[in-house]
Amino acid sequence: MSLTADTDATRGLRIRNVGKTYRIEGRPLPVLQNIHLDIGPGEFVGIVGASGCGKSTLLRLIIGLEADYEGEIALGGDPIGGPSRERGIVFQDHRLFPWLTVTDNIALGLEGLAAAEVRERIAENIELVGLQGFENAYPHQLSGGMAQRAAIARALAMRPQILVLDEPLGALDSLTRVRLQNELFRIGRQSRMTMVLVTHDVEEAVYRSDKVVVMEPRPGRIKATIPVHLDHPRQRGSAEFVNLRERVYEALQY
Amino acid sequence: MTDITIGTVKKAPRRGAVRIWRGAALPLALLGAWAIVPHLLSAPHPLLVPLDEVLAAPFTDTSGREVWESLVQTLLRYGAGFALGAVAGLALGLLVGASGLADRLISPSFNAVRQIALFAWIPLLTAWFGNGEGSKLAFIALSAFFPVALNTHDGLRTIGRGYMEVAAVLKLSWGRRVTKLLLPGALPSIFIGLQIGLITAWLGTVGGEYMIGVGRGLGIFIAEARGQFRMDLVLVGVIFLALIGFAANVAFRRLFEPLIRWQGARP
Ligand SMILES: Nc1ncnc2c1ncn2[C@@H]1O[C@H](COP(=O)(O)OP(=O)(O)O)[C@@H](O)[C@H]1O
Ligand SMILES: [Mg+2]
Repeated sequence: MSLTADTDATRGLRIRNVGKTYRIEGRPLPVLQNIHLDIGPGEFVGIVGASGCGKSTLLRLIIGLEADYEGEIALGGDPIGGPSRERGIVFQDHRLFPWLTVTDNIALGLEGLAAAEVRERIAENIELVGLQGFENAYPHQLSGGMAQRAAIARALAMRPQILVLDEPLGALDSLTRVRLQNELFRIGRQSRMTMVLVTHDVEEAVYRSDKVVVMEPRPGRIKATIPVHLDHPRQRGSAEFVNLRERVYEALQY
Repeated sequence: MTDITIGTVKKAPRRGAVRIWRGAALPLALLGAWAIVPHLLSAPHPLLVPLDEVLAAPFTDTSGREVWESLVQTLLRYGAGFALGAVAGLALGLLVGASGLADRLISPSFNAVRQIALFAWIPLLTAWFGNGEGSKLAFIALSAFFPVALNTHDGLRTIGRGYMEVAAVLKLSWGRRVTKLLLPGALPSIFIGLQIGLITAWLGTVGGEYMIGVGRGLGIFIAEARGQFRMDLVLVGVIFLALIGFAANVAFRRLFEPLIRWQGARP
């Protein structure tokens, strides 16, 4: 396991020896075990692994949705004790409130800001995810991909320090997916937003990430953390790129 | 007449004109018979008052004209009692549905008290509040209270955990949690509770009047007419009861159905 040199241990996310056990009908089910991970400010981290290996659970721990875990998770030195506006999430299912329009769903997380600021952030993020014209649509009037984009806008509008995304682009057609990937990536770099992306797309993970985390199941562990020290924009055909991609694939085949 | 849909609120199926007329055939035939048959009898029977006499009674008969004042009193009582009970039921349902502690403290007692048959409250209420307006209002409120509280609680319980997590992640304040998540999320169920409460409160209004007596109101009007063996006035009262029950249900749907339109097109 290698750690990237530029990890900023004081400002970044520090995950130390973390374990999580669910109970199913009284019997313990270890879901995560011995997780070590450092994510520096502004880093883009891709997480890949078979389904059921605890990727979503790890994101939930980072967000603070699971109170009961072993080990230590801290952001900027402060232990995580619950959700915070500094940490945003895009769930695997969009979870828009069905009784609110796209606009009102995005506005939910902007409580306490001035009205003009709220309007501006809504407009900005609706444009970003390409939902102009659907401002006043209800979730049931959107396709799955559009709803997922609205959920991305809702998370981005809060301008969190860390944004974790749980396979958010799976439901999108490939054109929209590539465009959104580009946009998300651009925002992340521009605003130094840390992004943790769970994805099935190994090629994409290698293309974007500063490091790729490969997980293995039963119980969920980190099999390998593979740093990608290549300049952007990356050349998908370059020898280094192909080599790194093969390393990720190899790690996946345990 | 009043159809209660327990479970999910669905839009009433649009009945075609044909179906409406087919459904109306039986009542219309009965009305026709009622209008004609009593006139064919050689001697008038006190239990068989012709339809036209019943319809004329509220306008021509001295005792019959009292139905209007009774109607106004009953409607006021119904409205006030229902509002009281619905607000209390909503408040309790929200409290118990939103707070686990309140749920554990209150729900067992609530469920025990709920088992008491509604009309068994009347002796208790009259002992506490006397035979006047207080008892009647309390009884109407109580009859609306239980279904509203129950369905509000139920509605909150069924809001998906995923939405609660979104509220936590977005750090919604308590006020927003209630107005943007709990209330709208529970609204379809609250809607059912209010709809049932409207009907039970109507039963409570008339039943309470009939059983407690004293004062004015349709229930009392009917009780007195029956005491004087005025079958025509009893029927006048009953027709008014049916019309109001029906109108309340229709008005309620018109008013509140647009509020849950968002769930209409969900798969
Ligand atoms: N709330 C829960 N209760 C019990 N088991 C759970 C719960 N959530 C997830 N699990 C289990 O934890 C394991 C990891 O789940 P998850 O983190 O969703 O994996 P992934 O996102 O990698 O597919 C699975 O075996 C799943 O069944
Ligand atoms: Mg998952």
